[in-house]
Amino acid sequence: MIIKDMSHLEGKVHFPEKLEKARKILAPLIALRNQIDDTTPPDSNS
Amino acid sequence: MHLPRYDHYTNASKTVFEFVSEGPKGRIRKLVEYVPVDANDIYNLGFGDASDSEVLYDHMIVSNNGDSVKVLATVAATVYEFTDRYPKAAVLATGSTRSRTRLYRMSITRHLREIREQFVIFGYCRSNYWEEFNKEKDYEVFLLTRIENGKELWLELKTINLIIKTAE
Repeated sequence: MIIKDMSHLEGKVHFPEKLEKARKILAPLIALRNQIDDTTPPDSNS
Repeated sequence: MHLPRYDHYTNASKTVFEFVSEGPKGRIRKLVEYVPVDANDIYNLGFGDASDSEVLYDHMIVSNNGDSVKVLATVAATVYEFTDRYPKAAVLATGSTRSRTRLYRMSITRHLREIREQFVIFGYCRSNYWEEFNKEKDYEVFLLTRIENGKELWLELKTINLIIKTAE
């Protein structure tokens, strides 16, 4: 593995169809995680 | 995994990987990307070939370059590298067609013991529920995460199964 400047490929979605499918299938998991985030009180130490 | 694989490049944040497949059809650039899916620590694995424009990538191209085992081993290596960098990540993977998804399933099955040393894998069935990966079954997508996140993710998926079942 070699690290190189790939900025021309970053910040883009190259396979949007797969991402759309992922979003559809994962919608319940996303909703569940967002719900947990909303109900979790903020850390009083932060 | 100790299979032959291609040398590959990645960016500093290890979200994009690129390598070149070499075979009877020549040299074909391949791209693997990890894109966040609207929630903490869930990423979609995108994978495909460079199109003729060399700017656009296409997940539907079937290059048939005679090196599918080496290509999949390289993609698998990127999963290890990505989750080394993002250990909490859950990665969703699917083929662009049913037959490709079946190819992924066969490849997972072949290396299941080794994969399970570090990961847990779940499958999303075509009848809309999640289960722990069963090598005898076909799935629409696969979701994997490092072992240490497995229990928590499985609890979430079981909750979702209940919600879906209740809604039916």
